Amino acid sequence: MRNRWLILIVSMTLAVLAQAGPASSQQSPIKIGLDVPASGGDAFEGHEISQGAQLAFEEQNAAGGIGGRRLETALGDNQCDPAVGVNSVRRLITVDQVDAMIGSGCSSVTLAVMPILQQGGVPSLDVTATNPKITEQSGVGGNPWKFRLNLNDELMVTVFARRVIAKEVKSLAIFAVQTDYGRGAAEIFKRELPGVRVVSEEYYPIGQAEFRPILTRTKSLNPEGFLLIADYPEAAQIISQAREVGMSGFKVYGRGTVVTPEMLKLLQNACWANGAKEANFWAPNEATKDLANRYQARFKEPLTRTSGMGYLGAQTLLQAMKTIQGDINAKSIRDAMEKLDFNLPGLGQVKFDDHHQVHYPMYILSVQNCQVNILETVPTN
Amino acid sequence: MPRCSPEPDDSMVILEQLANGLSLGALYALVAAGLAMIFGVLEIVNFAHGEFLMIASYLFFSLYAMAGLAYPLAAIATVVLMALFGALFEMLVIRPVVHRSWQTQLVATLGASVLLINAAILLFGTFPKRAPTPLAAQLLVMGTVSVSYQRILLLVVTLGAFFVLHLFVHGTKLGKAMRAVSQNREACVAVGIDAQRVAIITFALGSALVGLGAGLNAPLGNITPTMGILLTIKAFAVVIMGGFGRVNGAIVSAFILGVAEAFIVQYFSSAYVDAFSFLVMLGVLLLRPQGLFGRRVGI
Amino acid sequence: MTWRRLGALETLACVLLALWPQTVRSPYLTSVAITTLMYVALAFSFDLVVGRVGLLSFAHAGFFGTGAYISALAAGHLGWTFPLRLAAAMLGAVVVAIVIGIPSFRLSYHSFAISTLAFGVMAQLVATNWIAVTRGPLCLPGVPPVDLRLGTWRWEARSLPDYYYLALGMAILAYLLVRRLTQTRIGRTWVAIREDEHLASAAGVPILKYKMLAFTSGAAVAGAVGAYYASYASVVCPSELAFAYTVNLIVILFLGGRGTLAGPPIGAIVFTALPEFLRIAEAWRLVIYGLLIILGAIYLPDGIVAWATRQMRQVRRTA
Repeated sequence: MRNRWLILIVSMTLAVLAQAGPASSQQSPIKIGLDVPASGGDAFEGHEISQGAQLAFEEQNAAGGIGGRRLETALGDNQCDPAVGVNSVRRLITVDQVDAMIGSGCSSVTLAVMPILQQGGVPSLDVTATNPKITEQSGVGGNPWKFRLNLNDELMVTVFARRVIAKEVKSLAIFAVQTDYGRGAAEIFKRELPGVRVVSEEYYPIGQAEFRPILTRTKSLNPEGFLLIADYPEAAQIISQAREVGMSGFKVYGRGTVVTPEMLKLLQNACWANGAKEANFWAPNEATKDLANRYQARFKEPLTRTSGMGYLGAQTLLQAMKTIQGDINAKSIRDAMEKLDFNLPGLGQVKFDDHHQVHYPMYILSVQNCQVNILETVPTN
Repeated sequence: MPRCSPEPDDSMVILEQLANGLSLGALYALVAAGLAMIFGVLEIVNFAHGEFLMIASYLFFSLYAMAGLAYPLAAIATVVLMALFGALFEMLVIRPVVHRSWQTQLVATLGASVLLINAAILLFGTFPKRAPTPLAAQLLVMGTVSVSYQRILLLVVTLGAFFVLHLFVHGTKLGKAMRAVSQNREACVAVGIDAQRVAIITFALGSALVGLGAGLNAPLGNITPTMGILLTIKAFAVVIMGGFGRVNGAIVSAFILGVAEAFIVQYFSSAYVDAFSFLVMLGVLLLRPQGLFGRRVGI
Repeated sequence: MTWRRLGALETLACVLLALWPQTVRSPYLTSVAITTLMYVALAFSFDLVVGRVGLLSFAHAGFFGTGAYISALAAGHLGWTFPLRLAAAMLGAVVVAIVIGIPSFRLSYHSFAISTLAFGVMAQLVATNWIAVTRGPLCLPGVPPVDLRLGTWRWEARSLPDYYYLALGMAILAYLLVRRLTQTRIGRTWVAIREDEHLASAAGVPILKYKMLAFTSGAAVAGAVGAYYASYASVVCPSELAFAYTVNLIVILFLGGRGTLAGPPIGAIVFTALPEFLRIAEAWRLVIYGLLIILGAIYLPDGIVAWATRQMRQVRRTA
């Protein structure tokens, strides 16, 4: 009877081993890992990044691939949890044997997997995580394998706070999502607005649906400005309920994906958000209109900031690969990324500084006439 | 960090938060009443109850926003379909484990919760859905108190529903059978009451209440696959405070919790508001182990 | 059941496990094995509470998280080496267990479950919001690896196999602890309490003390695993206290078989191996997982071990 246990254990072990056998020796496809939150509260982010990247790779494959090699993706689910992310990235590197990665979607995961990238020698391109620490720890003096395509909060918040908020209001209520990016951004805002009185600083967990009590309280404090550090699902709910609670006459500022078409679409009436302003590294513009159509046609969903960045991140990797003369592998892709200097329609000049950060212009957006408008384009060098 | 405020304060703010709290409480009550009923009659801890609300909300979304049914029709259809869902759930998930230990039953409903959440993700994706009604955009303003008509509808219909429920449970034969089973199951079976039928009806009724909650509340917010998780835990807190299966107690406790939460947010902290709810529940449990309204038996 | 055969099986299993990193050259599989071993240790500790004494507790993830955070803080603020961090973590978890246990044990079994659930949720809330100490969602990064220092001699866990053997050691120690405890009078008393608390009480058993003993022992082991984990992942986040981890433990224990020695490890292996098999159907994976839990509760209410034992007994009868 006990032998049966042994057989059970051994056979399961063997089965698992068989699953993870040596990767097929056929080296043809170039594999890109997608290290994103595919489940949990941030799943929409992972979903959008993957789809954006997939579209770019599909289009490239239709054009013959790169050097005759197809592009394939491998999905890793980090669940926006550093521990899960570490394992997932390890799997992408050792089992799926990816040549490059896009990820991690969440700043906390990005920071945790940096050592794994270094050990595994695989370059990773971040497209949405905004925590400034990532830049600090990349490139010179840090991790040479990590790159970031999106602007970080240090750059954007400083500009937005000084250029817009400080000039328009004397008192501010901060309302941020309870995550690394929400907390991190809030800290930077507070630091950069010394002359503005912060009347309240509240945090809500992702997925919260009921904001009336906290909005009622905020209303009673009568701030001139209302800073919303949030993503569009909650931002829409917050703005709707703010209106329902009777909040009016405040200036609304955002940092996340507040002033975006995807947020406006969630409002019963997009005009409710009129006057809101936000700083962002992405905005739908002429250059992205065609992309938006293609994305809609392929996935039956509208293009969003996050899916757009997924696409552009993939494009960046592709561009790097195109400049490689010899064999395309993890190391050559990394070297190519460091030398990249090209114009990416929809974003601007893509050139990584010595901390592997890009400095294309950022946008200050606002909702006017119930639509998203670009107020200003501010260079970030 | 929690604060104890001296803050610019209005008596109007108190009224406003009261309105907020009652609205919160109404939803809690609809969810908790069903849970209390199930727990009272069947002694089952239904960990998937919050997911019932989530499923009901998606159901409503499909009927109202996707299929375009008129609002009252969509809401009623949601209630009816949820009743069927509840009955089905009882037969497929609960009945097979009804003779097992309560821990096993809990695990079964836990599995159902995981299944329902991920089935919703599969079917609808994680992007929040919205199903707003025109009533949700129209506001009733009295001084500084501002509420949408949809929310008023939620409150009014909820109270009406509980009144009807009360009549049902105390007036009809079936209702009396439910109360009897919750008080003494063995005796009922001996007397000939069909405990199985009562079980199905209880689940159907509890789910119907949740369906009503969805029909009233879904237009007010985001519908996501994980919207039910915290709600389950809070509903349990309410059921326990209300006396372990006493439906009336659960309803009252639900409103108390809703109002308490609104005032805690106003005067203490919004980050820790959930913690306060649980502390209150624990406090009640320690001082009165049978709950605020409990007598250790029955609905 | 002969002791010799038991020994042979266990030795064989140990040999297999001992050579895992060498036979399986994939770092990924080794990290999966580490996760499995952590779950084995946690499952054993959880079984002390749930299986042996019969209390359904939802607080276990909280003990694990407490140990992880204390270890991370002790390293960051006090610069302690691992043995000290480990001791602090276990002590902290025990203190939390006492704080939770004293009010909760007075309640009925249902209420106890809900009470521990509430504490579990509150623990995560505190971890998320007490920014001054835990840095909330910004996490506590830079936790040093498992290190030992004796005078000038220093050793540090540096590679994956290092961590694997540490985890293996942990799992074995947890197993030995549970085995030892259940063979003594303490273990038998626990069973008595589990089967009929009133009778045990009437027989003069100090119920509260025994419950507390199980609860704190389980918490101590969970805290120890937490300290190990903090060094392994090098970062501790509030998500480590998430309700989902407690659900995992409950599933492992119920799938494997509560109150047995084979149950926790079997449950842990199946639970961590299963997602690997289901990886092909990524989107459906968790739906199937939920379905399997339901089916497990219906058809294997006492866990795989009990079911398999019954099957083999039948086979032997007919053979």
